Amino acid sequence: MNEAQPTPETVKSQRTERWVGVFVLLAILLLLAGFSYHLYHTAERKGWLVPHAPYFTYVMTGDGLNIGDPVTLMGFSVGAITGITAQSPGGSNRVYVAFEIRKPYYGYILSDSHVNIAMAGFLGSRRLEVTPGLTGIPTIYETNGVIIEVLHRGQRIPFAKAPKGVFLRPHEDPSVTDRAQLLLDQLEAALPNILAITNRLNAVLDNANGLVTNSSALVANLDRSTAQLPAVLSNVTVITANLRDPHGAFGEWALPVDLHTNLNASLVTLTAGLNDTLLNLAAITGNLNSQVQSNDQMLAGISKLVVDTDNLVQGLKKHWLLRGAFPAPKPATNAPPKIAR
Amino acid sequence: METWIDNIGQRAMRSPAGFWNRVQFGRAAIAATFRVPKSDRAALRAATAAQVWRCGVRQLPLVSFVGLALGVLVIGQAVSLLQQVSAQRYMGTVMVMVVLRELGPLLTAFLVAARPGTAAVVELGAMQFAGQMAQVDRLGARSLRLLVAPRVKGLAVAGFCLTIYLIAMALVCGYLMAFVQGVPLRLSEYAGQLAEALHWLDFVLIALKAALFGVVIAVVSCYHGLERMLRIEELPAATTRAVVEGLGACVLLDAVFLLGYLIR
Repeated sequence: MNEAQPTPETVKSQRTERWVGVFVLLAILLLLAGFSYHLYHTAERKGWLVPHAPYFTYVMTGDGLNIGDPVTLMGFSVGAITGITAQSPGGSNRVYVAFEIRKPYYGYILSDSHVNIAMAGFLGSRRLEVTPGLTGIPTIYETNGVIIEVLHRGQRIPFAKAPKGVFLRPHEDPSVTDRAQLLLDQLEAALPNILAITNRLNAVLDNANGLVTNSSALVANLDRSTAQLPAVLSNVTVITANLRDPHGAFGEWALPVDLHTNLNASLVTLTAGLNDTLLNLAAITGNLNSQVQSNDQMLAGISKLVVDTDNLVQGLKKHWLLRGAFPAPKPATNAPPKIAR
Repeated sequence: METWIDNIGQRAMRSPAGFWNRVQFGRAAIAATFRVPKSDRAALRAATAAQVWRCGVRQLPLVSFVGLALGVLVIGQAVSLLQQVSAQRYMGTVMVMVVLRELGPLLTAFLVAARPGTAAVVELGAMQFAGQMAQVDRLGARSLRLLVAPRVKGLAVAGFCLTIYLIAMALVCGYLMAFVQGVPLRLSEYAGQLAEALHWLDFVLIALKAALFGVVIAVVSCYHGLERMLRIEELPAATTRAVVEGLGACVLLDAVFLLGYLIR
């Protein structure tokens, strides 16, 4: 039995349905691809596929903190706040804040790390900033990617025994309201001084008003003086011209015409006198030289006289008449000195 | 003599009834779309495919062009503004907020209302005065099933698909525009920004919104085409009314969806 041959309308309808199928399928695939990428990106961003380590801290107030808010470390969003609960009355710890840090960022957190509760934005919200440790010991210990032990009061204990996780010391800035109150208090305290300053400023402004009036008068006077300045300047121009010309009135008074001739004659006379003086000085120097040479010969005569006198004295010491006056020195001996009886 | 005040009064009195008629028609059309006897299923499937072909596949070039223009214009304007304040990292957010959530579905609805919507009004109106409607009961279940249901289904599917294509085109062309303008933004970074700015609800709401826009435009267009026996000179006015009412209904529906974004 032969199959029925497809009519042109059937073929066209089938082709249309195929194209429509492709059209719809492609749109659905695009939407699903977008959704899948969104899921993948969100999982990567929020760390759904990596282990998280629990931490906790205590703050004075939960104001500005919300569950799900990001926790930052070195500028990266590394986790989120998982719980905020008020503590029982009477204790020093008021608000318990639990948060999670994902792998590998909890490797940066050592025993000397702490949590800064810092302001975020202008609307009173706050955020947790964990500071990486420097010299402490690790807070999380894992084996094969599974957290086995955590640091609790300086000791490693099994993770199951510390469900809250690791405690990190808080560094909490005062809240916006506290800071605003402090600012208002300071403002209130400073208000009298500000009012005094304002009063002084007012007085200064009053004085400035008078000053401005005087300045206006001064400027008016200056304006008039400036109007007379061209006449003064023309006189100065004339004087300058006279100064520049040596034959002018002031030039002849300051610099006489025969000054050069007189100066020349005086210099010639002075040079002649100086020449004579130098000649006399040369003669004096020659005389002094000959006298020094004569002194040399005189010293030689005196030296010979002293030698001859010494010879005479030595001769006299040996004469019989004068020998007694010059006894011969006794020779040195080792005998003990004679004792007087 | 009838004054303009009388005219306003008449319209005000007619409006609630007219609105109720449209709601009734829409309810009947949707019921006819989903309750199809086995004997009509093959015919309805073929008719729906034909509607998707006419209202969807054949509108693809126009929608692609509008998507290209949208991406280029939005990014072109946003880049010059964001670069002044060194905020290029918000480019993905701008694209998501402007193109993906609002302009994409609305512009697609405008295009669908302006082309396949008007075609439906004219086609149904012309069928009436050509006498083809005598074969089926006028505004009865069978006419709704054979004439309205394929258009409702077809425009819903076409609206959804065209919205996806327009958004994809705008996002791709937006990145190309940013690249041409020398914005230091890598493709992975741009995709990351888009993914970060999106919420999972966006995907649901976009798909739902686009399909519902198609349904609304189809219902309004079919209503105006089948409302009453039209004379040939009444067709342009009916077409204009269909486009205006369809777009108005889409904008109202968009406002309802906006609540979904606000309460998420």
